[in-house]
Parts: sequence; C-alpha cells; structure tokens
Amino acid sequence: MVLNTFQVDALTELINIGVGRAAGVLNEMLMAHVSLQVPSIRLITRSNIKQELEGLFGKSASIVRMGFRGPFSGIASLIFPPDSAANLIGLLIGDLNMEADMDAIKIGTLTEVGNIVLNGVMGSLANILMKHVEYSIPIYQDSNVHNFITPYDTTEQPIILLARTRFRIETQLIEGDIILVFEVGSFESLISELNSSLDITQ
Amino acid sequence: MCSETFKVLDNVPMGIFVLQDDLTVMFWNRCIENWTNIPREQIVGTNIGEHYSHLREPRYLSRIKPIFEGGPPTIFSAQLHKHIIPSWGLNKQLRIQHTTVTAMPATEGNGFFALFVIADVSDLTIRIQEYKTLRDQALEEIKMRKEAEMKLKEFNQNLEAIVVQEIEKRRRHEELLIQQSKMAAMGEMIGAIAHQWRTPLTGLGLLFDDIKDAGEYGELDQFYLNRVVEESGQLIGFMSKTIDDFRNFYRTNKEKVRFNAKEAVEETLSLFSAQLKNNNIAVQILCAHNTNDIFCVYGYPNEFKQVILNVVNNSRDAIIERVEKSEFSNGLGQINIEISEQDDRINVSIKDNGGGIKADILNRVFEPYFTTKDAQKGTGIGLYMSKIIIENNMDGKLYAKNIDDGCVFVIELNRCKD
Ligand SMILES: Nc1ncnc2c1ncn2[C@@H]1O[C@H](COP(=O)(O)OP(=O)(O)O)[C@@H](O)[C@H]1O
Ligand SMILES: [Mg+2]
Repeated sequence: MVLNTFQVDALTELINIGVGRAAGVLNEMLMAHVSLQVPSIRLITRSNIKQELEGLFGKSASIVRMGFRGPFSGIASLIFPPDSAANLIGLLIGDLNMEADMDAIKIGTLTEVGNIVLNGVMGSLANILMKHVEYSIPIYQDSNVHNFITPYDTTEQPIILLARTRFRIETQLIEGDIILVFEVGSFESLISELNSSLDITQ
Repeated sequence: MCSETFKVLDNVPMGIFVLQDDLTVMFWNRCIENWTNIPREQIVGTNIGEHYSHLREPRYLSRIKPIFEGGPPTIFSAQLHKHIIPSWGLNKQLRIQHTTVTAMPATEGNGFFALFVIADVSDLTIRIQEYKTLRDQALEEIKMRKEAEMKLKEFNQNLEAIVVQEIEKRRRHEELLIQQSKMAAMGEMIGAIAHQWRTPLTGLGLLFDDIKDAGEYGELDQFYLNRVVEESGQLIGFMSKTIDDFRNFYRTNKEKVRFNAKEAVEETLSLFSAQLKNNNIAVQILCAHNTNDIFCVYGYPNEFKQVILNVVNNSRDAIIERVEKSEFSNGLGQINIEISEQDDRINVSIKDNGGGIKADILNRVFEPYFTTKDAQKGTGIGLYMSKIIIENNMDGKLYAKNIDDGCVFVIELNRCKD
C-alpha cells in the first residue's frame, strides 16, 4: 500500500497535533519548555521493521506499549533510544530525591512520559475520527529490538507506521529522539476513516 | 449516590475512586477510606478538589480531562507523583503511590467516568531497595572474587614464566656442561692416545735406528726389509686401531641396548691401561664368576664406559696427588674394580688407595663444578655427569664412601633377565 501525499500530510498533521498536546502536558509537568519537532512519518512493512529500528538506535531500547481497539486496532509504541531515555530521566529526577532505585525511577518515569506522548497522539487520531477507541493500560518494557514486533499472523503484508520526532528541553539543553510505532492490524480502515473524516478524495 | 456496580471494588486491595466529569466523587472504596480516614459517606457527592486541591492544577487536570471523553488511560507514576492522595502508611511514612486512571462508560446518559486505581508501591519500593542492596553486595562480592582470580592468574602466569626461565637456564647450563665435559673428554682422549702410542712409537723409533745400522753394515737385504715392513706395519696398525677405539669410546649411544657390564669395564681399562701403568698404578678386576653372561644390563654402553673412566681417572688423580705429596706408606697405587651380582642387581665398585675424600666434602663431590683440583686438571663435571648417566638415564645408583686408605665408588644397575 502506498500513501498519497494528501494522506501522508493528513497523518503527519494528526500526529503532530497529538505530539503538540503531549509537549504541552510535559511542559506543565516539568516546568520547562519542551518542544517536539514536527514528526516525519513513514509506512514500512513488517519485514523491514527490524532493520529500520536497528538503524535508528542500535539493538536495545526502552519501550512503552499501549494496545487499542475500535474502528482501527493495533498497538502503539513509543521507543526511547538509550541516550534519550537517560537524558529525560536526568531531567526528571533532577528535583526528586535520589534515594530510590535507578531502575524503578527509569521504569516509572519513562512509562509516564510514554503514556503522555502516546495519549497525545492516540487522542488526536481518535478525536478527529470521532470514533470511540478502547485502550489497554500502557506497559513498559526494556527490550531488544528483535523481540519488539509482535508477530501478527492474520495479515500477509502488515504495515507499520513509523513516526520519528525530536524533543528538546530548551533551558536544559537536553534533546533526544523518540519514535512512535503503530502496528495497525487493519491499516486500510485507518486510512479510509481518515479519508472520510477529512474528506480527502484520491 | 453510590452505584451498586462499584461495590465490587470494595474488595480490591488498592485505593480506588471514581470521578464524574465535574470532578464530583462518585465512589470511594474501603481501602482508600482506610488510607485517608475519610469515610465514603462524607466524600461521595463532593468535589475532589475540596479535599485534594492539587488535582485542580493544570498538570493534573489536563491529563484527567481527556478521560471523561473516553480518551486513553493516564498514568501518574510513583516516581513523578509520589503521593496523589497523600496518606500515611503503618510505618508512619507517606504511601508511595502508582496511579492509573481509565475511562469507564458513565452509568446513565453518555460520557465517561474516570476510574482512579492507586497501588501502594511503598513495600515494592522498599523491596526493590533491599533487592538492590543485596544485588550490589553480590556484585561487589563477584567483583572481589574476580579480582582475586585475576591476581591468582597473574601470579600463576608469572610463576609459569619464572619456571620456564628457570628450565631454560637449566637447559643452557646442562648444554654448557655437556660441552665442557666433551672438551674434557677430548683432552682425556689425547692424553690417553699419547700414552697408548708411546710404546709403538718407541718401537717404530727403534726399528728406524735398526734400519740405519743395517744400512751402514750392509745387512739391508730383502729378508731384513720384509721383517721391518711387517713389524712396523703391526705397530702402525695398533696405533690406528687406538684412534678408532677412542673414537668409538667417546661416541654417544642414541638408543638403549643390552650390553655386558663386565666386558665394558674390561674394554675401558684396556684402552687406558698404558696410562695407568706409566703412573705406576696397578689395576685389577675382581670377579667371582667365570661366565660373563650374568652381567648383562640395559642402557648406554659408551656412557657407562665413560662413567668407569671418570671414576678411575679420579682414583688415578688421587693416587698421583698422594704420591706427589709423598704420603704413600706402602709404595704402590692400587685400583681394584670388583664386579658382582646380587639378585637382579649388578654392583661395580671401584676402590682405590688414594687417601679418600675429606668428610666435609663427601656429599658435595657430585655437584656440578665442584672440584678440589687446579684449573688444568679438574673441571668438577666428571662425577656430576656420571651421576646423571647412571641415575637418570640408566635407572641405577652411584655413590661414594670412604674406606681404609682410600674410597670406593659404587655403581648399582638393574640386571637384564634374559
Ligand atoms: N677417588 C677419589 N679420591 C679422592 N677424592 C675424589 C675421588 N673422586 C673424586 N674426588 C673428589 O671429588 C671432586 C670432584 O670430582 P669430579 O666431579 O670428577 O671433578 P674433577 O675430577 O674435575 O675435580 C674431585 O675434585 C675430588 O676432590
Ligand atoms: Mg674427575
């Protein structure tokens, strides 16, 4: 499946709105100005995802995943490359006591940040489509990229939406990458929902 | 106000409450009642902000609001919001709380309620801390053990290096010794040949004088010439045989063979008898058996002969020294070689009347380079090499002891059983 420029633009726009919302939330929470770049999005096939992700940030990463069901179903994941994760944690625990265990801090912090960003984006998608989507509770996992993608056996050529954005916390000179991955079981339905709600004609 | 549908949540061991989109409390479960000491009857129907004003702040509100529209769950992690509903635990510390807020369809009409589920992770946090301490201890231990291992390894490697060096030193030393003993043997051989040749050389000299005389007196006929040629031929043959014998004598054997120890002693003495005789030393072989066959041993015959020669030469040196110091009471130097067999052993004991070895050096004579002789005469290698040949290469024994008037060197070897 190939997306036409309108569809790419529309998806980019939607994700951008979500990311913007997430940035707002992070601002409030961190009391710092967080800016998130306009994401660049790509559709890739399941078979390419490993290479693609490894190319982006090596073999291991911190991942927050959230499943969703509705007119379109799948799993949304936010991936923090190790450096970015470390930067974020450094910023967030700056004003917390260091007593707690580093791993616990890492898991708690990244789960919440991931939750914020994923909610921003999912909320924006669901909103525009005016459809109710059910969500599972987000979970955190420290993972090898190899184990990342869950095998879907239903679809022959499943498609994955990959969106990459940079965050930057101005005052702290902290920046890093985050990568959004949507494994959408029925990608066509997302696109057709998108088409009808935005009234884009091919 | 409190809907029956929520009642089931009373049994859950987590703090649970439900908010309506205007932040009115719809439900307050037993667990959170316990935590906060706020009874359900008192809080249900009121605005949560009246009790916990921070929940009205944008940083909370902006993330709670979307829930009422059916948005995705929101997480307030224990790390970033430790105490969403501050409450004291049993150990007089604020509970550390991890909160998940999810949307649930409103009981009547449309819209959603926000279901707050709060887990008390204080214990967990403490346990994680304990675990971490344990883990750190374990890691520390592992580190220490690794370091110890490394040190041991290093030490062993050093040790290995030292041993290798030491072995190499030994090897070089041994090579040097062998070289030196070869040189000594060469000197020995030249000396021995000189002695062996003295008689035939004198014989040849006399023959030539005789020829001169015969020429002068006109007796130089064919018959005479034939006799001279034959006699000198014998002498020259003897001389060249001497060289061959010595060459064979000093040739080292590559492989162990069976040989007759008694015959080896005899051959050695016949080669060097002239030298001994010239020094006025009487040599005798004493053996109770007529048959030589029982003295069969397994080893390196030439090396064995060199041992015999070394020991005999030492006796010779001791006797000569004694003569030079004119310490001899009864005049004659004497070397007796006794060959005997006992069970499966063969003994060759070489006795002399050279005055013996001083008690304080008796246990040092087998050390390499130990000598009491001056540089031209002694190297201190002879007995050391002999001991190696007998004990290391031929599985036997070589030792010395003092006797009346002299000393005895004993060689013990295993007898071959046919
Ligand atoms: N039969 C002997 N009588 C007295 N001393 C002896 C006798 N054999 C050996 N020794 C002593 O043992 C020393 C070591 O002998 P050896 O190893 O053959 O070396 P070297 O003959 O070159 O001195 C001699 O220097 C001598 O002092
Ligand atoms: Mg000697």
